[in-house]
Amino acid sequence: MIDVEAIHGTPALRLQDVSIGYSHFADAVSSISFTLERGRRVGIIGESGCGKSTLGLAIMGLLPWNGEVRAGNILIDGADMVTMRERERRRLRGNRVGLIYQDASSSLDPLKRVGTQIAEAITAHAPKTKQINDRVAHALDDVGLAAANAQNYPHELSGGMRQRVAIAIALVNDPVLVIADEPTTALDVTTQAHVLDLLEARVTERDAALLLITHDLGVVADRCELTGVMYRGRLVEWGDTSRVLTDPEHPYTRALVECSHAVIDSDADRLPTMTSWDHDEEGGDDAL
Amino acid sequence: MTETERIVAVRGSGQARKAGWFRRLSGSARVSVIAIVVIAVAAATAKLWWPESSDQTNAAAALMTPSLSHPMGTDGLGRDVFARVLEGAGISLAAGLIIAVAAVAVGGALAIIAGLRPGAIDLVIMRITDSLLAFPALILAIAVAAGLGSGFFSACVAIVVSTFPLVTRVVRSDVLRIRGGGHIQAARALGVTPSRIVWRHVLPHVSSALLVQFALVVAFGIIALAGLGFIGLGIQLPTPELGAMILDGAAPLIGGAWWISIFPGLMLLAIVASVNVIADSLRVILDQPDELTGAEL
Amino acid sequence: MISYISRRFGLALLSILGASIVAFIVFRVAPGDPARQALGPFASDEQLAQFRADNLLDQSLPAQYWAFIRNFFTGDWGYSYGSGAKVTTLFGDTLAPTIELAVVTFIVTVALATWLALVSTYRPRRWLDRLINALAYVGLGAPAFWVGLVLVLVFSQWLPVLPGAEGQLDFTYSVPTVTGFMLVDTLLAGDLPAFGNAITHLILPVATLGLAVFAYLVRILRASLLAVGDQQFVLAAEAKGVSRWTAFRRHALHNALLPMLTASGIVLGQLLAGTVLVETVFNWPGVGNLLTRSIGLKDYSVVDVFVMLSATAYVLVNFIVDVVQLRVDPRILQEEQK
Repeated sequence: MIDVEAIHGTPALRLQDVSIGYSHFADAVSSISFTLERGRRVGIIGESGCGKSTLGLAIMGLLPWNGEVRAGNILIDGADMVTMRERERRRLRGNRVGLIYQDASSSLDPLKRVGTQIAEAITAHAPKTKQINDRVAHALDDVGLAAANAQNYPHELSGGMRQRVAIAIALVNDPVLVIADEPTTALDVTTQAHVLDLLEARVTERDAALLLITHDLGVVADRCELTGVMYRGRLVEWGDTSRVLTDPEHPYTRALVECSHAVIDSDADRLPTMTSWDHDEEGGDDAL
Repeated sequence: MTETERIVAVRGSGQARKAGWFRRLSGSARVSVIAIVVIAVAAATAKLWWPESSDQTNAAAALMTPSLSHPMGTDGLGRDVFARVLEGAGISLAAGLIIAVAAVAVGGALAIIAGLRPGAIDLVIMRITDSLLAFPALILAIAVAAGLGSGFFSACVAIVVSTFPLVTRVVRSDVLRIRGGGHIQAARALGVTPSRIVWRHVLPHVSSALLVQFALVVAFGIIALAGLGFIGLGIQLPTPELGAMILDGAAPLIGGAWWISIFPGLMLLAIVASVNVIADSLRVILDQPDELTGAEL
Repeated sequence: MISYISRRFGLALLSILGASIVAFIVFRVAPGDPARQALGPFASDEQLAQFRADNLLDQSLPAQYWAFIRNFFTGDWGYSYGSGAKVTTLFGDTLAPTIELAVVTFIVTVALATWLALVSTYRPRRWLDRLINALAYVGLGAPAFWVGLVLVLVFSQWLPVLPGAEGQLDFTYSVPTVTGFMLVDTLLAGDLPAFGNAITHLILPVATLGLAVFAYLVRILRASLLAVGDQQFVLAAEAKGVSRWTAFRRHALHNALLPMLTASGIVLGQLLAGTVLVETVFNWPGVGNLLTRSIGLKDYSVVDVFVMLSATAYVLVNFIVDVVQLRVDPRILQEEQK
């Protein structure tokens, strides 16, 4: 029996049967399990409302007050986010796991300079850091920005530059896991490519794991070697991207793939739609 | 039905929409509306069901503590405080409504004129508004009331003068926004008469702001009226204006006869708090943020 | 930046000028015959004529107006009709206690409103929300002078813990007047018991004056915090490992301060108006008390100075608020340039 852990070390992220819900409503995420080793990149795909963003928040321990993890374990670098106390969770947040939001314009405080906000990520975990300006300058340089940009307010930077700042903040403490929630939705295609290139490079450098949450199959196809498909709170597909895209197991995935191929390939009269797959096939089983 | 018919049916007639307004208010706002209606009706019909009069003096029964026959006691001249508080409530509500109607009418009219006719007229109106807004509202009301002398009429004029400028400012920005929308230009190009433009194209859009401002002016007006009464301006005793009654009861309060001041104040609190609750609910329904600070209350 | 500031300043000056015209109309033109008003029904015709000549009442209106503003801005405020004292002296004696009351009230209400708004919004706590809302409605609906009487009744009569309508200090204490601010003067005189006594005398007036102001501020701040707190950058700060309280305090508050800043300017107006209503209740020797007495005596020489002073102070404070906002929110300039 190959000891996976002995070869790769503790996985960056492991979910064991995780279920998440809001208030008294039915599970928003039910019974999800997967393992993500360091250095690997997975794209979680799904339509709006499938629970992928909830999953991302739960991994960070940032569910809103009416949400809770109802069952399961979320292990980041071996430590269980679900059972630990808030104080300990805070030590991991921004430190061992970083989060990059969809719209950097709204994840940056409009009234504080960008450099201050990067510094905050550093001092949250090492309050007595000396030469903080150097570290901030280094972080900016890492994402292709000038040290002088530290003095800028968010509205003075372009959308792409703001997203780079968000990446810098997420990476500044060398986390083992980076979660990117729709990191390029708000950007134009060219900037998208640059930002994703940057993200990929920096994550690889640090041998960190990347959890990319998106609805864009193209992005996943290009950048992630693993793919997970979520539908209505369940993980219906998980595996190597090449396999998932060419030979999907779950009918939902099949329909998704068909839709995105069809735009380029098909010369049929009607494009396939998501309603063309048979819901009844889902039944009660999970793909995993 | 065709699509158009269906849309028209769903929209409903103006009548149906008006009937639903009570239901759209928040729970506490509905309670407030009922409270105010009860107070108003009680005040208007007091002579029918309450035996004591509000102006009958009776030296022998002066300064009596609250009892069954005088639930709010009697004042220094032996008058029944409960009857006076009821009548005072009626005066406050009536005055508040009159003031609000006048302030909103004047303020709204000026705002529409200023908004629709840019240039010299707009400038003059804005200068006047700004000059009036340079004063804290209550201070301006005091000043005008002092200048005009005491009495119901001068108090009302004073408060209208101090409240219409804010209405003008709020409504004018709404009007300017609508002007930028283009359908006013379109109407003009079609030859629609100015008054029609105002009625059909402008008023419906500023009515939300006007309604909220109306409620706010009622609240401010009632408190300002009481304030004027307390300083000795505005409505004077023996007319049972609530503020004047509080003034009248201040000295007795120090001496131990607390009911003469406390009950009128409680009535004011009940009325004004209710109006404010209604105003808040209207703000939420009609999407009107706070006009001075921009906060979404 | 400079052009924005100078434009606002120009507007401020225009407003003050306009306010002076309004004040002139209200006090010189409207009341009818000022001479008769000032000298009473028993004055002789010569006295009336003399008064008119002294006060330039026989001049044209523009000339009178010019004299009016010139006098106000040079500090030539004339003499009180009632007491004959110089109006400047009257104001000089009474300004300090009012400023002391207003400043202490401002500090207390801002601190309390900020803290309560933060505590009730950073984590949803319905009971606290309801309580604060109820308190706010009481503050908005209860006339300040009545609140004062209630507080005096409860805390000075029924539970004799605090002084009531007794001004700034028990008459048993005697403290030399240096600045006019009782808190400062008692400290300067080294009289600690008097200092403590002065503080107890401040409690009820501050509570009375502050209730309406608190209600106004806490509602605005709560609303802003709720709106801002939902924003992603607060959550993003937490994602860095910052605690929710700190994220709220550092980011949400900062962003919610903008409406609060604007509200501060309005608050000054409320405080000014409030002192007029509240000082009589507590026998507070301030400007509000002076005004109330002057109104009773129809002493317009005092009233119109008070009104002009209020307007000038109100406009200037709001101008300063405008400028401070520039520093707080760098986006304002961007908006202006569009």
